[in-house]
Amino acid sequence: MISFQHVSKTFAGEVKAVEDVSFTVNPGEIVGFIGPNGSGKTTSMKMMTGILQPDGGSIQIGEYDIVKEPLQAKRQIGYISDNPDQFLRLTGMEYLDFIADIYGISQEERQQRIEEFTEKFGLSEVLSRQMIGYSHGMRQKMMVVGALVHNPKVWILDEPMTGLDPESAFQLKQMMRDHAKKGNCVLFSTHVLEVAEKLCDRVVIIRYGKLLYEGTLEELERQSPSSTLEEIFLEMMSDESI
Amino acid sequence: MKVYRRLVRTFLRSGEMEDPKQKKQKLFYTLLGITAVLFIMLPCCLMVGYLTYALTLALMGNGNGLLLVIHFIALFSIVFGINVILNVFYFAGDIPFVLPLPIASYKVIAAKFTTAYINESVMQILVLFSGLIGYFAASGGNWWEYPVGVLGVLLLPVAPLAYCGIFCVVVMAFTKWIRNKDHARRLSMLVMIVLIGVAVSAVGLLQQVDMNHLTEQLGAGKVTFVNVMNVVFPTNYLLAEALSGHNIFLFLLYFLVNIVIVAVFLGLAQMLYYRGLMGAGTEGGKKRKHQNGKGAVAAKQKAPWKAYMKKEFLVLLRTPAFFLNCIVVNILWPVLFYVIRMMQSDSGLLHKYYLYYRLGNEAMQWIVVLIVIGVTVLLTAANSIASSAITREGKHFYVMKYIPVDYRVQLHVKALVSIIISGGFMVFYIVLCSVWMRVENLTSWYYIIVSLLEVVFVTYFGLYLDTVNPKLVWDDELNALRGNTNVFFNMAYAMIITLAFVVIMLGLYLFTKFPLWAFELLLLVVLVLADWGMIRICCKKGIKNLEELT
Repeated sequence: MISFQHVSKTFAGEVKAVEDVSFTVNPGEIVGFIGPNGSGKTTSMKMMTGILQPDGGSIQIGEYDIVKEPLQAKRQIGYISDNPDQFLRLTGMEYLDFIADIYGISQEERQQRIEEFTEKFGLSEVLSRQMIGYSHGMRQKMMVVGALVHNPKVWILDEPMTGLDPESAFQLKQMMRDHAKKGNCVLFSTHVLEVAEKLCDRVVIIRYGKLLYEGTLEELERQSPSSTLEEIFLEMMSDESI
Repeated sequence: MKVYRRLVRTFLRSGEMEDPKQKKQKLFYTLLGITAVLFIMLPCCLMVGYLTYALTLALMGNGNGLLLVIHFIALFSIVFGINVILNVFYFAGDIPFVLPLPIASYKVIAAKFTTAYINESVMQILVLFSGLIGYFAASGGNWWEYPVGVLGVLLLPVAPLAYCGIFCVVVMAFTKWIRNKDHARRLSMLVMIVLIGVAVSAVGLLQQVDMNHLTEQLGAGKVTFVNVMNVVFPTNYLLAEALSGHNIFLFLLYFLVNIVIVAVFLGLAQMLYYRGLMGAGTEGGKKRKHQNGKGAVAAKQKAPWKAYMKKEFLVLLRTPAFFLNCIVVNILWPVLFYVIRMMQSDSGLLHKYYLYYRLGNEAMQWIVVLIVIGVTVLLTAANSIASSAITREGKHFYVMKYIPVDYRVQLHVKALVSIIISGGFMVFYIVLCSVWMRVENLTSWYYIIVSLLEVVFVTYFGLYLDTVNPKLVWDDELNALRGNTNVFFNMAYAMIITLAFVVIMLGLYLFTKFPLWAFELLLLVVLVLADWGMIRICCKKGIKNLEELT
């Protein structure tokens, strides 16, 4: 569903943010995107969603190439960015209506989904208030609802748990599992290894814009049976020879 | 001192607009800047310089001409200063990061005041310098007065800004309501409207005053406005007196009074600033009642472009800084017209032109068409709806890039919003003026069409400029518009284009025997072609710019 092949991106002609990275996210999979700050996770996700243009390589979302057929590819994606401060002067409902209209969702369909999601995240009571009055966590939850209201096949979530309360984080993880079970896919970035361990079918680990590992966490642990996942990860990050 | 300097540098940097990254765009921007300075700042400075020169000559070297000019500029800086102080002191994004630092509060306050002074005063100082040059050119002056004059001008904006500071610090400390960012913006809007109202009434009173008599009164120091302002702004009076009286001691007193005013402000700020900061910057949207007592109901499905346009309108109307600078600003044009009308008596030039127009004088018919074009260009450019269309997206600019809506559609919708608002105001004004001037229906329609075509041109031009280098990093909506060079460039170039237009049209009138109908037809054709070209440039190059923006 997501095919990220030999993708590179350089900023200002000097800083190589992503360098010849390749991986795939298959239908029915939840894939964790792991790496330290500045490793190129957000840049990669921004290229997948069409926010940034890759310098080289190809990115396929479903059947569509994000560079060649951007509008069709974008319709497949539900994206949550690392910054939830969007359209704060709109009420929650106006924001969701805006997103639903952009993706061409009928009134009945959007009403049903909005009710379901806002109920799950405890947002029903605040929908008629401008989002400028929301807390950071509420804004984050609203972004989650906005990203999912058009029922996209491909979820690309940049640090989706940041700012969520435990109950909402639990709900989101459950939704990710349900979404993958239906044959869709989820790619999400995280710094929390425990979350990746419990949720992901596979992980993609990058550092300095280069791919370090793609596979299951079990395989990774099998390579160093005496070490914890955290120790393996830290070792990978500090090993300059890789 | 080192900490203070570093703080000032950091505060200034955080509000700065980045230069374009690509070489071509950088060059384009530099050229825009140079031309704007040559065609806008320079004429503006020359005008103030000449006015001061003429007044000083008429008053035979008396400093009251210079005093009148600097009093007006001080009033002007009060109008905008309140917003600047509120922004820098209470709503800047750096406050949560600076306050926990182990830095003495007076250093933070002094650094913030310096930042506000630099942000607000650069253009003002340039204009004041022109006034000073005009004054020296007419009155001569001792050798020591030149450096003293320069130093004096550098200090002139300090007192008005400190007054704004005192007002804001006191109001913020003792009024809870005002600490909400939106309420503060509304208050500053109200202050601005009141000050404009006062200015308009003052101009209305001028109608009954004979200009020769006014000059005499000014020379004798008997103008009430100047006398009142001398009390309110003693620094202005002291500087003008020091220069015209060749009195260095008055200058030292001027320097001392400035220090006292700043000290009073800093002392008050030391006591009250943190109190005012508690809860400042909170932003509360209005709570709307649920419909039918149930949860909010989803709206009927709309086409993406309609949804996008609704979003654009809601952001413009609900964000006080955008509402004030992009929409309310359009209401100022009738005020300007009223001022011009009031300054002219029934035997004045305006009235004479009006009579010529009513009598069907051909030259006047041409001039009215050119006035329609000029006002349209200025209104559309000054409201910055188009030239800040991308900038207003700010941190969530990336949404433009990931939603499945063609950039072309997004740009056209942004343009349409500007066209509806600017065009709406222009149509209203044209209809109003047509009724007042008893213009024939067909001619009114012609003015409306010409005006709308011009709105389209300026809109797409402003929009294109904002795709080249939008100011996407801002922590406050007002900051998105102030210091945004695209807004200034759009206005500057709109004026240059209008001027070029006027010159060409006048040339056509003077050197050819074009009948009026042929000229009107030619104008329509030229405007349609210009719109077509500008829309093409905006769509082609603007989209490319958006794709490359990171």
